[in-house]
This record gives sequence, C-alpha cells and structure tokens, in this order.
Amino acid sequence: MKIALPIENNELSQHFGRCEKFMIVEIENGEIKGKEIIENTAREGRGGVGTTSASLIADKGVDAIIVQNIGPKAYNVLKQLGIEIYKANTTSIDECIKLFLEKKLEKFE
Amino acid sequence: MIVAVTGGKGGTGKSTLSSNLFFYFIENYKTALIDCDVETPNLPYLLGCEDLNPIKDIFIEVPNIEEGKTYNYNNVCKEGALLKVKNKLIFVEELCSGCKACGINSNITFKKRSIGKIYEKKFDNGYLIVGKSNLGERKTAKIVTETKKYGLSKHCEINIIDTAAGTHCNVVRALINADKVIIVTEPTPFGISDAKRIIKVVEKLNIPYKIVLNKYGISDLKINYDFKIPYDKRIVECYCKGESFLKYDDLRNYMEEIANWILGIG
Repeated sequence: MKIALPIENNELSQHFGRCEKFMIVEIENGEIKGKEIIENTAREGRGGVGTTSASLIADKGVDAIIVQNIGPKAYNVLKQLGIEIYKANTTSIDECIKLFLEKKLEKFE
Repeated sequence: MIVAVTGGKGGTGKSTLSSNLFFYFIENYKTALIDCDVETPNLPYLLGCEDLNPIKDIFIEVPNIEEGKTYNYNNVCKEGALLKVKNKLIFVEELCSGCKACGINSNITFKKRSIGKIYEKKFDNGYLIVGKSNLGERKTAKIVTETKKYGLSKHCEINIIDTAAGTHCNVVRALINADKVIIVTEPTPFGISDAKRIIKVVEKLNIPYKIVLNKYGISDLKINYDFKIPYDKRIVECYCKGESFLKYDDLRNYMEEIANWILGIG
C-alpha cells in the first residue's frame, strides 16, 4: 500500500492543500519499501487548492494519508476516492510513519 | 441618468443617501433604486418596506456529471472544482464558478444552479430593485450585473445604484456604465483612507464624481468634499425607522444640492 504525508521543511505540514511537498511512502508487509517526494504543484492555485492537491496524490495511487489538519472539501474528495485519512499529533515524519505501522493513528471521521 | 452611490468604507451613509435621493426624485421623476449590495442588501429596511416580490432567480451553469457516463475531460478546471482522478470525475459544486471551461472540446453537459434572486417593490412613481445572493455563494458578481440590468429595463428617468462597501469586483460591476458617481465618506481616518481608494477606482473608470461628506461635524479632520450632510440626530432617528428625512426643510436642502448636481442643474 501507499501512504502520503504533506510536508513542509522536512516536517509534517500543518496544512494539507498548501503544503510544499508530498512524501509518498510505499509499505509492504508492515515495512517501508520505498519513499518518494513530489512537489505540490497545486499549492499556488487561486482556489480549490485542497481538492486539486487531493487529486494529485490520488493519481499517485495512494491508499491513505496522514495529516495534522485538512479542510472539508479536500476531505470529501479523498473520501469519495476511498482514501483513508489519519490524524497525527506529531510533526516528525518518522514518528508518523512508525505510529501508522503500529496502527496507533486515529482516523479522521 | 444612472447615478451610482459608493464610498469605500462601510457605514458612511451610502444607503441612507441612496434612499433619501430616491424619495426626493420620486416626487418628480420616474425613479429606480437598485440595491447592488447583493451579499448584504438592506435598502428595503431603509424604505420601510419588507414586502418585496421575488422576480427571478440568477443562474450560473455548472457541469452535469452523471454516474457511469464516460467523459473525455482533461483537468482544465482552475478552481479545483472538477477533478479527473483515474478516469473518475469528481465535482465539488461549491467551488464551481460557472466559467464552463470544462465544456470546451468535451462531452460535458450543463445544468443551471441558482446563486441568488432579484426582488422588486413597485412605488407610485418608481421601483425598488434588490439583488440578493444565496448565503455561502463565493462569486456573486453576476447577481450585481443582472440586478442592474433588470433595474435599468424599467426605463426610469433616474436610476440610483447603491453599491457595496469596498473596492472589489462587485463594487466595480455596480459602478460600470454609471453616468455619475457619488462617493459618500465621513470625517474619520478610516473614511478618508477608504475614500481615497475608491476615488482611484472611479477615476480609472473615467466617471465624473462628487464627494459627499456625511456626518459632518463629528471631527475637525480636514477633507476635501463637494457636498456635506451634518451629523444630526434626526437623520439617525429616520434611519432607524426606515423613513426619509426630507420632511425637515434644512436637511432637505442638503439633498436638493446633491440632486441638482445629478440632474445637471446649477
């Protein structure tokens, strides 16, 4: 499976749509298989930044995302695409991934 | 004659002046008062009438996305409203501005969506026309344009356009095509600062304008103006009751001076 994390200055971004980059983490059998960083080309948009960002990572085949916060429109787009949204209380990327693998992150409902 | 009443700052007296000009003109001219402050219209209260008739809805056209249909659409939406993700189309209706760019070279069809309404109240010698947006609409400029168009279709001799506060798109749309503009301001630092900004807009539009200094006397601030209206408790009382203050001869004279400029007399 693949998970995405919005990042800013090598930390989990406070924003989803306006983040600098996305880290896409590939996981297989409970272990990290690979990491990829993509630019968030949607962030400078006039409007609909959240929804456009959501489609950007969905195109990458992501199954879940980990965020601090997310707006309602982007949330709905991800939900419609069957992408799970997890909430993190830490800004450390490594910690986020670790907690996800240990199934200790709560879902945004 | 189309005269627009604007001012930059909110609460300077745009609607108070518009409604009193309406009461003044209606005595001798067929007059339309057009409320183009479509997000917060309140001229009905200032005219003491709340029984307006709904005339028509203002629509934009948004894509009609049907489940199971295949669309040859490529992500062109600049609003992030129509997204193509892995051959699935997701439409976020509240983001759609109705620009219809998604319909160019595609098989997308459209449906109408109401973004607001025009209301009307008929007087013996004129009309109050009010544009009102639905709450939560992001782009309401079309309501301004349509409300004005409907008001002008009444072919009145005098048309008073009451604009919103600010210098944004809705204000500019309300000002466009006016023959004259009245800028209402007040002797406060905020009034002066905002008036300067709206003056620049009006000058860009190349429309002749005059400045009305309302609430004259509440400070000693120096400000250039063409007409004044004093700060007077009787005006406040009339405002709260939704009545005109023309019954007071001294206050009526201030209105007459402004009206004469609009009419091109003296």
